[in-house]
Amino acid sequence: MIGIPRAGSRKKIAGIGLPSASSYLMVVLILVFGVYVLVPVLLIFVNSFNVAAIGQPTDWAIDNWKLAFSDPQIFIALRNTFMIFGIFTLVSFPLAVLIAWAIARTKVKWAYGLEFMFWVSFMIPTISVTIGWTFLMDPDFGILNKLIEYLPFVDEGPFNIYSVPGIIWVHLMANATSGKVMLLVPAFRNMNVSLEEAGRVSGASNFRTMLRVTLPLMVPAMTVVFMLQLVRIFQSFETEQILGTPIDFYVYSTKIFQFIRFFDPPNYGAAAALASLTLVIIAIIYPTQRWLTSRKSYTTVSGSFKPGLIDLGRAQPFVTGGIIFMIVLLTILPIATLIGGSFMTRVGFFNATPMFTTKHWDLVLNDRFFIQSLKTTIILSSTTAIVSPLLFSLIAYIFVRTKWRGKQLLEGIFWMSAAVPGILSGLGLLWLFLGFDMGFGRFDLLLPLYGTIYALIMVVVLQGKLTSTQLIKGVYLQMGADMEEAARVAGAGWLRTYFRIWVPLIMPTLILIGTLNFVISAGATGSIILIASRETQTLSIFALDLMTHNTGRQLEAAGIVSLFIVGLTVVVAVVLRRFGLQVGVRHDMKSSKATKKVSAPAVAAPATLHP
Amino acid sequence: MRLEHLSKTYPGNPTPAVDDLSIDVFEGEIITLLGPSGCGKSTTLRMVAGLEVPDSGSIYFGEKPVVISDQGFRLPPDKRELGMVFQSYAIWPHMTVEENVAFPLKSKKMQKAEISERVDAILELVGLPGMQKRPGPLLSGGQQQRVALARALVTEPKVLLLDEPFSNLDAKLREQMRIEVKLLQRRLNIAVLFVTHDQVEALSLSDSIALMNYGVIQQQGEPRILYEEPANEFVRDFVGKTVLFKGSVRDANPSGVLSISIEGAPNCVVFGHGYDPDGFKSGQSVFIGVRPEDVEILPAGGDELASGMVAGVVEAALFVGERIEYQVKVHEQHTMIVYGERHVPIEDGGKVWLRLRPEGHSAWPSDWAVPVSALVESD
Repeated sequence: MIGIPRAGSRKKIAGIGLPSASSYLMVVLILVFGVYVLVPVLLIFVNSFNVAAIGQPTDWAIDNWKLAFSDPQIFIALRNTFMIFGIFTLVSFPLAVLIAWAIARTKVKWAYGLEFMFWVSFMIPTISVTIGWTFLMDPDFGILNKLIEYLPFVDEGPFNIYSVPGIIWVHLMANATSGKVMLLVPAFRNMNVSLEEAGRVSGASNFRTMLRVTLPLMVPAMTVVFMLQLVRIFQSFETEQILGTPIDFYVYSTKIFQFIRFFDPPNYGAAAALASLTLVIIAIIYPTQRWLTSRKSYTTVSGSFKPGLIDLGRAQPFVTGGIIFMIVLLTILPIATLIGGSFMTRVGFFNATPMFTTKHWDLVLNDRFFIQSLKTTIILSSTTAIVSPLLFSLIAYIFVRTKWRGKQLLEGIFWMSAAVPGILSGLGLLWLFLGFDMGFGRFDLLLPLYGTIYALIMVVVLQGKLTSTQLIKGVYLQMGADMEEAARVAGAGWLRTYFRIWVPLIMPTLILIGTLNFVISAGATGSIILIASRETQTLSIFALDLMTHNTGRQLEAAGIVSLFIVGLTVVVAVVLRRFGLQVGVRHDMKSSKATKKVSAPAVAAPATLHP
Repeated sequence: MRLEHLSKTYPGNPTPAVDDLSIDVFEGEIITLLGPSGCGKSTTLRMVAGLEVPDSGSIYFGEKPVVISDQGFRLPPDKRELGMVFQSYAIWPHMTVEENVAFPLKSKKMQKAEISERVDAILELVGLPGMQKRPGPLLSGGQQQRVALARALVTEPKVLLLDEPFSNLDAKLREQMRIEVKLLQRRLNIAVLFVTHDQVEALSLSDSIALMNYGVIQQQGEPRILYEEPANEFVRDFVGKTVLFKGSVRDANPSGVLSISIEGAPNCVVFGHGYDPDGFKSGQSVFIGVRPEDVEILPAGGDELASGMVAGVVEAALFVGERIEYQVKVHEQHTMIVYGERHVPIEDGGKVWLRLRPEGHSAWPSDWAVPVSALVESD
């Protein structure tokens, strides 16, 4: 037969468009991200066998491992990590599923407004939430405790934020709940309603339909959300640093930090030995991710969108009320407390005279380091907000719309990187910047970067890569290929197609990614704390420092600084949203549905789903 | 436009989607790729558009090579200068009608004045005058399709590709658009490659139909030829409907025309073309393919079967508007569907006689005549 391919005569290169330069681009991308993600980890691993001080000639030995693992605290720290994660996941997951279901699938009031508030909650940096709840639940001066003490027969307020329940509570209030609600609502909303209706018609109650029809259908979406959470198990840092350290409660990341910052001289070796455990986690995450993405988990989106919402009847006001109560806890209460507390002479001391003062504000606003941190934060976060949507929309494009070889590997690297705790990659990068000698000459090319804002920019831009690419991927998949193919056939080159068709079509998502990355970088602590110098520290590092300073905490000041972080993120979110509404006017609400309808047949094009 | 020995196998699929396909489309001609879903017709179209890469084979537009797989040569879709209408229309929702239609011209870096002139002209032509400023998402299905057509034709391409363009329209609009497309094509005198799974669309629009299955062209020719002289069972059952009678060969004429008697009706002899490369022998049992319009159904005219008639009993009568479809149990035959006139209804259980046109049928060896239509899914 004529059609038998002859070897070497042709290679299946790209999906459409880009020339065979694609292979080179892929190699570059994989190298850059591979180096960025893996080299710090490997560097740390290798250095864990080096007992010489940092910057000194190498001296190989296993003393670090002995030291690190002879310390029972290490195992306790690991156990604590899993315990905290386990408990808050156990609580937040069912809670988030219930809330997402109520918002997306029932006739609950103000559904879109409520959903938006969970976004707001997600955007409040963890450090601000932590400080806010410290103001409320500190055993000595916590405002809630104080208020309760006014009740008769109560001598002492019941809350102690410096405890395991306290830490878990703050996680739930930070983004453990809101992040999941945020990701699950769209999935629930896009579900094919007729499946649910079929359940109802077959005689199942609303509740039974939810359990037996809706939830099983949502399993793929929930699995992805769970995975996104799981890979970050070792990431959590600032909450434990503020609330756990005072009671000698350590988790993985704070333990590493302790080895470096609170040992004199810093014990990098032991930190490295502990950090090497991450390799094990990566070994588990990578295959799981491959398995997950190889399944048809995207096809939950159906073209036949019709909102047949469930009437909760008499339960409805209670459900709405419950969600609103949750939102108050998540957003309004901690922020209001931060604002109020910052004007109190001493937080929680209602009998101080005068009770209110502006002296903390004066102090902070006139602090040289505050001004410096504010500048750094603005530069850092703005750069991230601009660079990341462009960069990640291109990479997500590669993931979805090309058949390039190596894209699975690149995506795998992204998933792996999420598993590398910020504190650890920070440590690795510190090494990379300071230079090292592996026995074949000294490497210190990146030394000029050390302590500069460029190093920080690099770290925070790349920090949001997994979430960003996953979000944009979803949009590309939903839009379908027709929009692009029509442009190519109409004579537009790849670049023109990208900027004239894709960018406007995915503009709302790009703006979302920009906002998200702004927030991530404004709130970053663990990933940059080791790289930032006194001159390049951000507001969140500054606030963390004020909360954990050895010479005594400056609570009110920390509160004010964290308010600035919140303020920045909220302003940016509002401005970008405005901007987004202007640019993407026509497909903000009405036409996004039309788009869905138009491109519905292409949504499930298996070629785009399955490389 | 010339397609030569195109083959394409999707990774992970054991069988090729398109297998050694060659086809010529001439200027001013509508060629239809017809077939059930998954037969490779869309893949072929997408290879012409440059949206899929063939594993082997070549494509030429006139003398200009577009794809020569052996040399690794392949023009990207934007350099092929063709028009295409997508099944979903792919009207960009962030643009107005005008912007959608002007897009291909802007890609060619044309002058502003000329662009707006040509956009106005083409919108006039497709019947959307004055709709320039309407946003894409605010169009009805029919309007979207007109915009898609305008966008595909605005650069005056030599080749127009249509990928199931009518499948998202309701039945009435579909008929109307079909006629409009045909008129437009005649007026512009362009080559059209049209993909559909709807045989009525294919029969009514095309100058020539290539009926595909499993990535291979089963038969190519004028619609009439496909209908009257199907090359094989697949063509017979996909194009139009067929009533199958069991029978046996009475006389095998070397010229190919057979006389066949129908089983259970010894007095009924019909003539038809034989489809067996090995030829037929006298007395061999066969299936006789009869088009429904070649069977007449009459109320039985007595107990004695009139000569040339086939006796049967109506099991069910379905009124479908312009006719009545009868499910008839025929003595010593399968149950079959026969169309009757709506003015002379026959009750369920009524005895009937079937009268077959004497000639123009087809005979198929009974051992391999599986009614393919039962296997063909239509979507």
